[in-house]
Amino acid sequence: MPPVRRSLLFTPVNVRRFVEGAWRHSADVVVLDLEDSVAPEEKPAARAMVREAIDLVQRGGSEAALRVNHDAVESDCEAGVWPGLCAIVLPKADTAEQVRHLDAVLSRLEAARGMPAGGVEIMPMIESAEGVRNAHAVAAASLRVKSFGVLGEADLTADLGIAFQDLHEADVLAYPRAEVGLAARALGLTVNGRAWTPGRSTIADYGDAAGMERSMRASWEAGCRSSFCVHPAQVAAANRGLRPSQANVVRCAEAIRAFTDAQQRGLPYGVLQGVMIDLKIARAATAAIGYALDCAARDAAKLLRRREMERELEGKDLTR
Amino acid sequence: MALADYLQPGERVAAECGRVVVTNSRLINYNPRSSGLAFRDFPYTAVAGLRLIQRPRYTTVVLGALIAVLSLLAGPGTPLQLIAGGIGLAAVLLGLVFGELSLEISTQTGGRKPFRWQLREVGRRESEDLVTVARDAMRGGYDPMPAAQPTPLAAGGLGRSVLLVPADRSDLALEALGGDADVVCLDLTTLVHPSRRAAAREIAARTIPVAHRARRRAWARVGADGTADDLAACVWPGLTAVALAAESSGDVLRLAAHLNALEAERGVPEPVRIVVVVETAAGALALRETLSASTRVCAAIVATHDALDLPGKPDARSTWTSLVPPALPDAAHLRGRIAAAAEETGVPLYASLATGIAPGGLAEALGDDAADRLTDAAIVARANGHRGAVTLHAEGVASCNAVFPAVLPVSAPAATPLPTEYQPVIPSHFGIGVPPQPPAEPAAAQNGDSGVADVHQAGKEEET
Repeated sequence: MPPVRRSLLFTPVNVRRFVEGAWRHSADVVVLDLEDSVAPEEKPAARAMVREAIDLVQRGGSEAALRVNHDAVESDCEAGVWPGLCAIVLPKADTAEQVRHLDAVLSRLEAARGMPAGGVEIMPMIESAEGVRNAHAVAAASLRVKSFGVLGEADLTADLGIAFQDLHEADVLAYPRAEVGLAARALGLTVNGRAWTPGRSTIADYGDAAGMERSMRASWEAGCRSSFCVHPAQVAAANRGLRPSQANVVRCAEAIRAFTDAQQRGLPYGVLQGVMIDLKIARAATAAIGYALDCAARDAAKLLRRREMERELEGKDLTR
Repeated sequence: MALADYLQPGERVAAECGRVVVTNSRLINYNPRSSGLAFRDFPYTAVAGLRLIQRPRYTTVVLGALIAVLSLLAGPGTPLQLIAGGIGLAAVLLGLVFGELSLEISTQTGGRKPFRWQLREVGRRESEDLVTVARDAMRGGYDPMPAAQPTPLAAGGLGRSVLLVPADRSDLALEALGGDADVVCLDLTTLVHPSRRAAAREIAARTIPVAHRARRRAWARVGADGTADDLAACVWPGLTAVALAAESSGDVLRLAAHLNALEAERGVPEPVRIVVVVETAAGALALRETLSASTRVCAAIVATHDALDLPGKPDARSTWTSLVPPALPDAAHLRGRIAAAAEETGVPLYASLATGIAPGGLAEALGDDAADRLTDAAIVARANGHRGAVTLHAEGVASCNAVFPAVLPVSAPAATPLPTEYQPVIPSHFGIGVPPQPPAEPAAAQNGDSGVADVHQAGKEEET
């Protein structure tokens, strides 16, 4: 069962108040950003802040990841690979060689810093035509890649000569989206990313709550399991949308029952509404129920952690 | 080893003449009668030049000369001696004038004597054509991956409608063989309960000969988890093709190796073809590779989605099939990829038509207009370039037969009626651990049951 990582909230690592407040948003993963949200001249200072930020953002039960710069992987990892880090987000992953290089850097740092070998995952982001063409090779380049499928929509549209705003009207990234999705599925990886929905529902449209809800439901139905968020307002929609709905869980239970009844009677498949419920559906239904339970457990754990933190902070305020 | 299995993935035969084969990458000389290493080859990178040469038939010349000399040595005399001498001289002349054609191959290693491959029992024009094609291929003029030449099977042996039946249900199999489906595919995978796999193999072994006698096309769908046993049960004269979900060329080559061994062992006259079933993302991604892995591959079944998955026409299936994560969010992309692989390799595609709906469940799943919806879906599948469709339903067979272009008969002008009884032939080396069953009682056949049904019933009783 893949870990529950529905919402991955970007947080600029050099903005102290964002980092300190990130635990309140209930994101499954807080992605400390050293890339686009940090100005070039501020990157050295930002690197120095990563180690402490890893602990700060986990206070509410979130995991911590780090987005590095594709052209400064070594220095970013030197600054950011510390116990507690679950993944490195690798932007502009154009070739398998980039992933292999990052893998080697991580292996070295894990050994040097007493971290479990292979514990830090790699999440490549595809943001160029070259990356789309090499999607399968990129995803297959390292066993650290356990989830795949995220497109950097803004950079990718720019690279392809498409206006980003066109995504409001049509799925101009249908081909890249499908290509990375196919690569992820062919390799048996968890599928990340978002399905396209019409209207203002891109990752940049964080002001449109309804658009985000639509997008997340469509993404779940398309098989996606996690989505990046650029604003805390998007986290709740991702956590709600990227999990089996209650109706879905009920259907799964019915499917499992139909299949097991059939098996007990020596039949190869069950039948519901004329539809064959075979082993493939029964397995998927079992996995979906398991995932729903994992999501509920994760939400409960985060809630408890947040309450503990709130009490702790209230206590500190009182003592002052 | 058959020539088909000597070819590398992606290698295509451009011309064949006698024992010499020209592919897009090399020249091959093989002896189909040899039981040992029967192949020699020259990659084009090692070939400096080719030419056709004619040499005297030395055997004929020597033999003729010997007859002539012996007849002369016998002394002057009888007309019989003169005739024998004349025949000897004629043989010498014939051997010298109408010599043997050989292909002379000069290699890149200078100074080495050229190799000569005899073109046995081949005319001059065919030989010249062969050399022309080979030279063209050496220059790279032969497309390394052209559309496959239609094989006899691909041209006329593939049907429009493929009816899937569970292999452990002999009653359904016999009914299907007497029905309208162009192909009956015995399923040994998802339509059979695991506890019935052995019985299904036994019944399949008895049903294939029935299809053979009835001149019906029979396929078998085998499982990845028991391929050897499934094949041991099914590969008999009369089996047209084996369908297997493949995700790499290795899957196809292993299947081809199994088929080679069984065909040779059992004297199966026609090579059993391979139908690649595409049911996973990995299978779709590797489709070009799997379709070109062996020349046995004659078709692919698209099982990643159903022909009924038409925009704006949801039905009860989506309630349940949506529980399975889709192979791809964008079905159009997947269809495009599969179609491109099929087009590049020249392998025809079969759609899946309501294969997720249980037999007898069409009306419940699709509504009262189920038959019309099947026909609509078949029309769309045809428009998308599919050759036919696989289905579980008689209504699906009717739709396919009405929508897809008709096919040529296989080998008989018309299907002969199904035998009411037959003597199953199961050799002692039949390797599935099931003892041969006695032939059916005639009385049972007269009652309208088939021998197969009786055997099936006997198998059930034994199990219980």
